[in-house]
This record gives sequence, C-alpha cells and structure tokens, in this order.
Amino acid sequence: MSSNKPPLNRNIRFVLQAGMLSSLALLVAGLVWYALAPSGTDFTLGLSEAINAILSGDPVGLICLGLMLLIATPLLRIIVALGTFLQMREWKFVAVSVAVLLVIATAVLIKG
Amino acid sequence: MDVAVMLGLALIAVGAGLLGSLLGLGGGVIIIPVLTLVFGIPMQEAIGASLIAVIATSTGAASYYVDQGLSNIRLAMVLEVATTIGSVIGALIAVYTNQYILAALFGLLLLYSSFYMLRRPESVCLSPTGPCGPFDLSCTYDDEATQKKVEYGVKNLGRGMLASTVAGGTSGLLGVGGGIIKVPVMNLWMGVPMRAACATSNFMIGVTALAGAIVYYQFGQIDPVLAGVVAVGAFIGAAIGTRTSHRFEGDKLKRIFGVVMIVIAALMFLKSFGVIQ
Repeated sequence: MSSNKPPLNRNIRFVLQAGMLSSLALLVAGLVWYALAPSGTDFTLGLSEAINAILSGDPVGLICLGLMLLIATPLLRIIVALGTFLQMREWKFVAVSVAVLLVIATAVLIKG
Repeated sequence: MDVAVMLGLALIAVGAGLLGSLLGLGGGVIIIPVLTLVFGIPMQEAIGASLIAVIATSTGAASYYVDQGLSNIRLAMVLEVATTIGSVIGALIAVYTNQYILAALFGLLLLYSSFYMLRRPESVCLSPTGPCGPFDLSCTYDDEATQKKVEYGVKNLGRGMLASTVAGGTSGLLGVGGGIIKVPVMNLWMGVPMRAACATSNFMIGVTALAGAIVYYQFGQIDPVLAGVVAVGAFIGAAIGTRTSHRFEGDKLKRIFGVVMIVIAALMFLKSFGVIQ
C-alpha cells in the first residue's frame, strides 16, 4: 500500500519507523538490564564511551546508544528529505534542507 | 533509580505522549511539571529529559501521520529553519539560567497554553492553493471523518516564520515541543486545517527539540536512565494516540487539559518563589 505514496512521504516514513523501532529496542533492553543490575553512571556517554561501558557490563552504555539513535532519527530524516528533494530536482527545498542541517551542525559544534 | 519509580515515570510519559500526539504537542507541558514538582528533579535536568520525550513523541506520531499524508512536509521543512535557530538560542540561554527563573517562565507558558486550550476557536477557512512567497506549500489529504479530499494552500509565511522562531526558542529554553505556539499559528494565521496543523506540528517538533537536545547532551544535562524511561513511555503513548485519535473529542479534551494546566501553572509559580521545593 505504501508504494502508492509519494516518494518523499515513503522515504521519510521509513526512516522514522526504523529509527523509532531500533532506538526503542535498545532503550527497552538497556532499561531492563539496568533494572536487573543498576549502575551508578548518571551522565550521558559519547559513542566510544557507550560501547566501552557495554563491554564492561554497564547498562547505561546501552541506554545512551538508544538515546543517541533516537536523537539522530530526526537528523537522518532531514538528510533523507534532502536526498529525495535532490532526486526530484526541487532546488528551493534542497536549499531549505541544507539550511536546517547547518543550524543543527552549529548546535553540534557548541561544546559545554 | 528504583524499578517502581521507573514504572511510575514511564506511565506519566505514556500519558504525555498520548496527549501530545492528539494535540500536536510534544508532551513537555506534562513531563516537566511532574518531574520537578513530584520527583523534585532540577529544572535543567527535567528539560533535558523532556526534549528526549518530545523527539520520541514526534518520531512515533509523525511516522503514522506522514504515511496518512496529513503532515505537510514542505511547510514543516521551511518553518524548521526558524524553529531550529530559535531552539539553539533558547537552549544556550537555559543552561546558564537559574532554575527558579525557568520555573516562573514555564508557569507563564502554561498560562498561555491553558488560555489557548480554553478560548481559541479553530479556523475552518481554507486558503486557496498556489505559491506562498517563494514556495508552493499547497497540500491535500483525505479526511477520514468526512470521507472527502481536503485541498488547501498556505498564506502569511513571513509571520509564520517569525512565530516559529519564538516557538523554537521556547522549545530550547523550556524543553517543550513548541506545538502550543505552532498549531494555532498554522491554523489561524497560515490557513492550515486543524488536523493537518497538528500532524505538521508533530512532524516538526522532533527536529526543533533535536537542536536543543544536542546542546543539553553536550553540556551533560541529560540523565540517561531518566531520559530513557520517559522516551519509552512517550513512544508507547504516541503509538496509542495516533491510532485512536478518531475516538477522542478534541474540544472536550482541550478544555479538560486547559483547566489542569492552570493548576500546574500555579504550582510552578509557587516553586519559582521557593514556596514548594
């Protein structure tokens, strides 16, 4: 049924659903693990720190991976929209998508 | 955090995600007062967790609304330029602001929200299709209730962009989706039908909250377990809300919610003055 939808809707829906299901799976697994074996880590971890935490048996590493994937989902949705607008040669909306990405890149560059 | 607290928080987040997906909001107006007033969590930490819940509500609800063709993707992307700029500025102000001031600002936001819920009538006057400024943002969708195809155009893009910057600023500053500003602006100023305005707002709030959430993540002001619990709850709530929206009477829901928010606003003001912790 979805194949009858416009490509923009179809592609964006796919990214949102994939992001939702995969981050939900990581978060639920991490939270169940945390409930069984609580950890003292109460701060967010970067990607490599999260992987190291998982390998050393800290469930917060898995929760942080889920959170990072969740935060990345709207970002991926903009990148997919950009690709679709490029394919459809809708240049004004290509420019709009790039502008949104630039603002988000600015947020990433701001360090605490 | 013990398991009973985790389950309690998840249940509240289910409610926030449910209402958020029905009304075009992120659910922050529910999550933040509960975290700060009931669980005594500092304002900045509550805002960080709420931004994550907003992204979860948006992702869960938007995947359905996009599939139904209700979200106006092109309009959303244009307005997102303004909301993300506002969100980054708001988040940067928030991380350096005293939590009692944030609580007072949140109280004001809730009062405005309740006014909107209780008073604002829906605009049913559709704009003619065609270009709006440099863009053609016209859209169509099938209305389940009337079994008719609804075709509408968009007007007043400049005013909409300005209001979206304010909505984004509110999102970054106070950890909400900003739908409480975007939905009436799209409906009353820009001529977007209410259902499409809610669905478009749900689609946008994920990106608006993302810009703020990145700043909070970088500043270490997100508690991963707390944020994980509210995200899972919000996902579940949004999934239920989008699939049962036709069973709810929107106006009745808005009125009840409006009254509840006046009470919460009063409690947030008491907190901002240090009367309650």
